[in-house]
Amino acid sequence: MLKLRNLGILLVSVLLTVSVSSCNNSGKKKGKSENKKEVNIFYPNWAEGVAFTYLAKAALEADGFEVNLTNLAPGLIYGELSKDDSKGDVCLDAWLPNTHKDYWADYGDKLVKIGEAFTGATTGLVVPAYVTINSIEELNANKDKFSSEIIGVGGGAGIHANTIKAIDAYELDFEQITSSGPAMVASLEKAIRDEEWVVVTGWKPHFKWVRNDLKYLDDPKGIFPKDVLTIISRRGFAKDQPEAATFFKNFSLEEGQLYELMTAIADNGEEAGAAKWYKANKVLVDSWMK
Amino acid sequence: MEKLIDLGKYIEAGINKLEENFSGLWGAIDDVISWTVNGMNDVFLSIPFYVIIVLVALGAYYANAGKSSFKIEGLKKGGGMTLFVLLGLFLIFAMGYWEEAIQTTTLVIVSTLIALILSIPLGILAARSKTADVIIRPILDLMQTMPAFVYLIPAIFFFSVGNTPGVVATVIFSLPPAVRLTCLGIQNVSEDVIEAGRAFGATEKQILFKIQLPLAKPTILAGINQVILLALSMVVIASMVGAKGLGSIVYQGIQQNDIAKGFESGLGIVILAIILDRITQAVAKK
Repeated sequence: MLKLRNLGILLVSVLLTVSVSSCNNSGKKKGKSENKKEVNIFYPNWAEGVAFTYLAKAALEADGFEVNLTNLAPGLIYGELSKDDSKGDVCLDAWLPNTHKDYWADYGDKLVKIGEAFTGATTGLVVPAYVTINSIEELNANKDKFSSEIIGVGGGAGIHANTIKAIDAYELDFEQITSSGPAMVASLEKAIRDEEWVVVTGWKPHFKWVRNDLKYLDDPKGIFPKDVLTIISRRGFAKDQPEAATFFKNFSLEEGQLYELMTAIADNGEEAGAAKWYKANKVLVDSWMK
Repeated sequence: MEKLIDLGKYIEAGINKLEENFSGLWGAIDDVISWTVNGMNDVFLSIPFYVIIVLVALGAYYANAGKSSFKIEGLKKGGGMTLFVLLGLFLIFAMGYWEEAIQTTTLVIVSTLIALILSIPLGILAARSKTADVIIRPILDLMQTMPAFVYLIPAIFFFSVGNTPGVVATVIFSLPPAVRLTCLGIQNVSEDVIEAGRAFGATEKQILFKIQLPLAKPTILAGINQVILLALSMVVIASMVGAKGLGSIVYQGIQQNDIAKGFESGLGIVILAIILDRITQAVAKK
């Protein structure tokens, strides 16, 4: 019993010490980014989103900002940014106006589009170049070669919903396998090594186009749309952090630049790869601050 | 199939009401948990890593060797675990995951403390009152068997992203065994002993604190040990709503199909689990 009581006293004293010592930085939490140079970025784990996000982190930190990154599913990103007391400020990888149409319909009126990270994004069903069919309409005739499977990405992604629409519209006898962006690339590249037929839900920009010989299947019914990779923020962010908002307003990459950045990240890891590309392109990136 | 009952809609409406009517309370809980977690992280991270490693190793040694700490047999009892702590924690540091390991430990400590503050009184209540037992038991069943991912949805709704929804989901998931084992431990105290106590004129309070709880101690401590391990098993799930630590590295590893990242951070969680488990078990045995 004595031991139990000692344990209890110990627990309480630990709690007390901690709450006392934590009072010192308690102001930090609620204050968010109003006064300090602090930016909280939410990002989905897609190659281009990771690339934009870590580049922004490298550049903003060089300018004296404190940058916090949180990896979240896309639905959570939109939901959280739309809140009045949101814990996040910005997301650089919103697929608008089409792929993320549903999220925008739910939350768009509480969000701000402050920039465009990349224009000319496309989505669709992607096969290796050696696959001899060229249109989604030819999939059914070859379903055995594809094991009747379309390798998809996360259930929360807009491209996932569009693929379900495509399966419906083209009456495909296929099933979409839910995985993740990297798992999709892994199955694609494994199939290419084994020279098998495979169809995945793919998008541009993505480094898989650099590393492999791929093609989109034609989409005569126009299910898969073109998009702009939009930078969205919570309301009031531009007022709280005008300098950072200017940076995001000007933030913009060409396809070639983005692939270079993605390759640097693939070779060196997120943090080091983005820092390396930032150093090599400092003049361009720093010009976005003005 | 057409739904006969739209149960989910009612639950959603109920949760919406809870959110609106008690938003001050949720904000306060969020503040307290965030302060505690951030404060603890700052304290731990301000201490050099080797000091923490040595302190934990000494703690592990003392927990295992106890009274024979300064004798040869103490070395036999506690030496192996101490070596494991030194090597294991240094491996985490060498892999570059020290900060994440501290964040994970903090999450586990905070969740475990909250779980224990709630669960031990509940366990005592359930052991001493039939009615309470009948009410608490099915709730515990629900808490334990509902897939843990489901708790993330209301948790994030009430507390937004970050450490707090992770801690809350972890508390819900890890609390039941402590209630059950506390209750079991007290119920297993033999009727004869309690009768004897009554015969000597012990009050109800004395019976609880001087007879039942001391005799139930090993079972209660086994419950605490379970809470810690369940809390650790939640860190990956908690990272999906933005909780920091080794869990978020595992989550990235899964999403990026990165074997190296996944295994390194997973191994870090295993090392923490073994250390926390062995230390609490050794304390329980004494």
